[in-house]
Amino acid sequence: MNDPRITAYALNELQGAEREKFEADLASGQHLQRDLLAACEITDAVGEVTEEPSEGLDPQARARLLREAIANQQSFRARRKIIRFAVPASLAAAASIALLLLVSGGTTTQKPAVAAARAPEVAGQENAPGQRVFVRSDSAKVASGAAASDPNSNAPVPQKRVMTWDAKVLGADVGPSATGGR
Amino acid sequence: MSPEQIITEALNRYERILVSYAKEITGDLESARDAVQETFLRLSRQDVVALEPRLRPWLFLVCRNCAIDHRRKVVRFSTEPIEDMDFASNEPGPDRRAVAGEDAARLRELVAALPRQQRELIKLKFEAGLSYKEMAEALKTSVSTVGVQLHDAVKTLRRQWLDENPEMITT
Repeated sequence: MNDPRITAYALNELQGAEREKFEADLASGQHLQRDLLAACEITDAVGEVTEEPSEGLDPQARARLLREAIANQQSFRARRKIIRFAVPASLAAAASIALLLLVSGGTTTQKPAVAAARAPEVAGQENAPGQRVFVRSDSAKVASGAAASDPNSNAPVPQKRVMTWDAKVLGADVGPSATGGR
Repeated sequence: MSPEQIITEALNRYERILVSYAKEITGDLESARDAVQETFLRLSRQDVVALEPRLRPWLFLVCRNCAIDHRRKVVRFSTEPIEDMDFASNEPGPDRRAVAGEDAARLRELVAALPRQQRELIKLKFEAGLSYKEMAEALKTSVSTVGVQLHDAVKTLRRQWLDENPEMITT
């Protein structure tokens, strides 16, 4: 009697495929049938002798408990109602504020003309003649290090690429760049 | 059903069974009653409508936890080891006396002599009428563990019963 399915079957706890499998096993196993009969006798007997519990709560304490429990439940539901209203309301308010900020923020940001003047090659916009802009110059190759300072040296001179920014007034060159010009 | 009705109905239906179950754990009636009161107060702070489909195992789970808390308090102030305490009352009630004879009394003694865990399962199954699934939920264990432990309890009862009443069981 080492099969827990026996007690489960006796207590009507086996369902579906498990039950079908057990019943198939039962049909072919005499030991199983005998064990099931024994389990049924015991479980039936225990069920019969199990008495209805007679001891409950003290009647006064019970009445008090019921009152308190119902009051708790009512305040729980009231709180939940507030939360149910407050959360969507505050979310809606937050969304409205965010939308307002977005709309008003859009009008105070840099004007497109200024942004384009800072990086005309990126913006791809034409600038008005006479407007002062900064443009990146072509790279200049400048000798660097000790090799550059020694004119008799035969060693190949390492070169570094220097990027410069030249101030230009559209339509006319302004002058040498800050790095010494080209 | 309204939440108030659910609470009232649950109290009507499970009050005594829960007291009996809690007493199995605490060992005394007053602690068991306190545990049941605490259980219903906790219930009242829940969304009972949402809880209703699984109310029964929830009640037994919470009642069990409350009863265990009470038992711990008792143990803290007692020198008596917890396992030596007589949790089960062997005194038969009026119904029991009327229905059953000596055999029934002896069978109840055998049930009372089972390990506490198995007695708990017997109570949940036969007194409270919980399914294996509900018992597993109440005891925070698996359905298969419930099945194995209850089967062990039935096996023990069967063996002891057979020793005393060989004619009762066909072998």
